[in-house]
Amino acid sequence: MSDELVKSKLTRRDFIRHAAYAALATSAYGEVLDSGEEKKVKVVLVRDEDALDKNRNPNPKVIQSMLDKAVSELVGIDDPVEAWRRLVKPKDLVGIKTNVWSYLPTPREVEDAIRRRLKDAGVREDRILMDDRGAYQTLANCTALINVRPLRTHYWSGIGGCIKNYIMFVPDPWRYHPDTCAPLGHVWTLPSVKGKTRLNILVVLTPLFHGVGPHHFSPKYTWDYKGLMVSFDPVAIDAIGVRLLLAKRREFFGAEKPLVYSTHHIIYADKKYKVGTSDPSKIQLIKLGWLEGVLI
Amino acid sequence: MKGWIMWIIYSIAVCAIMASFSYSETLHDIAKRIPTEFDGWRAEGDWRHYDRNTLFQHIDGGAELYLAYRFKGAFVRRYLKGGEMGITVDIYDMSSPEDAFGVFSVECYGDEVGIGQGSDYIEGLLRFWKGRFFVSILTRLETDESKAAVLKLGRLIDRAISDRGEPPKILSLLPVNGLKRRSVRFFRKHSILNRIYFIADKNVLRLGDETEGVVAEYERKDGKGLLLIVRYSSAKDAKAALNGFINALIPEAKRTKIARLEDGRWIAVEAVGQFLFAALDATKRGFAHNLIETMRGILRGVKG
Repeated sequence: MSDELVKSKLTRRDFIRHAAYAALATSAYGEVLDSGEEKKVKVVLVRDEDALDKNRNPNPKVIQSMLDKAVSELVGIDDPVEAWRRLVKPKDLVGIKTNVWSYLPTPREVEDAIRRRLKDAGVREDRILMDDRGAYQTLANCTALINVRPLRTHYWSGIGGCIKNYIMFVPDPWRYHPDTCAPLGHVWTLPSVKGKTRLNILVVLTPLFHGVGPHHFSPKYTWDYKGLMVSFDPVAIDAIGVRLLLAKRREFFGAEKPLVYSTHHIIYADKKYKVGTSDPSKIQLIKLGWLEGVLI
Repeated sequence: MKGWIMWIIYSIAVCAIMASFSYSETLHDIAKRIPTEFDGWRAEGDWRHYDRNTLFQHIDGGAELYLAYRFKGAFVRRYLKGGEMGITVDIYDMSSPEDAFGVFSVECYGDEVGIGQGSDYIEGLLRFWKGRFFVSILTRLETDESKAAVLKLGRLIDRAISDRGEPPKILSLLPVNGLKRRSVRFFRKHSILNRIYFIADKNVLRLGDETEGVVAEYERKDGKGLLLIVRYSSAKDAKAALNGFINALIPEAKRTKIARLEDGRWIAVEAVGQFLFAALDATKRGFAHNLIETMRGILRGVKG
């Protein structure tokens, strides 16, 4: 992808011209195009038919099992506890940056599953902090961060994903909303965040794929995908998240219904802020478990 | 005789005062007229008030839509009934009917239900505008009962708002032939235009508090596409915006002001007096050209 995309004046024409962005935008993007020599960034998606009960509540045991499988696959070690030991050390002060948006918060079952494995990896309970709105102060001194939130559409940034989840590490998050949240990747370069993230978890149990009205939420526009995604790369995981939402929107509305232009903070996070990769040819999506209705 | 004259003067003064009150009703005034109970639904607590500095606490991530218009303040309250999910009512004071219409127009996806001066209902969400107020009434889970309650509450609030207002004057410039009326969107800032039709990260069209714009969809025999019209404070500003637009999007078409993009769609643009207008996303060159020519004809007779 050309450096033109990091010039200060990004236009509609730039998006139309650049193939890599088009690949990010299309729900028709297929599997990895080229399994060449270059090492690819892994995004692991695990789904389980029993992840939710009939009332759409997460099943704690199934959630734990899903998280374990995903992390094991990502790290490349069968034993999930040993895999977590590769992510955090007992001496770490670990911050779980969760998300409390009232309509679709991080499920408590996912937070508990994370805490359980952190403790199994040797981190004391009093050295595990968790916050969302107060992260700017409570998590600023952490030595390790676990980034976790549900995937949803967002009025300004196109999607609420792992990149955007760190917006609460700044004292004035609303300043990042204009210009369709283009500079979100900048937050990842701040000293309170840079280099600390050990794992990104994008919760796709019941993603929100469309929003209207001031509250941008309707249960009609969520569906039981019953999945978790993990990656070391927040840009790659968000790029896959966009594909998933676009695919669901096409399935639901019967036509392309783009988020396209409002998700360019993902490309900025890649090309301007160097936080990760949005290039689909450099991302390896590994799918585990239940494959019916996987959409991507 | 003197007594009659005094009585007439007095009556005129009273009428004038009453008239001024009816155009200056506040959120407080309206809130007092909305019942705390109806059909078994009860208000939960008192109205909560939000202003430009605190609105994000209520609609985190969505406040910028209202801040991009002349939002002044909002009253919010919930209604509850038994096992039904609650109904959330938001009443926004947008400072002017134009801005109330603007906020309403950007998200019309549902059906007109005859409430307020324009309304939209879809899946548990009712939105309408009246006078300078925009109202949103939402039930998270639509049932027959909650839908009926949302619509009834909408009518009650409609009656509680006395003022009416005119939609933005710029809408009168839209050609009628082929116009999809529910697609009309009014905006002031480039952040809103970018949500409707992304132009560029930077504000190449020089939009701001003193500009007003409209985008609408058209479908005709000669093609389909969008029409964008922006009114500036001066012809000089419109010309500068025209140059900015061409340089950013179609620099190869400085002379012709019409070009085909790599996705096969056409763009054409022009400025006349204080107005810039553009055909966007046009399926055919002829459509783009014709739309521009139509706008030239309309604006020939428009002063400022």
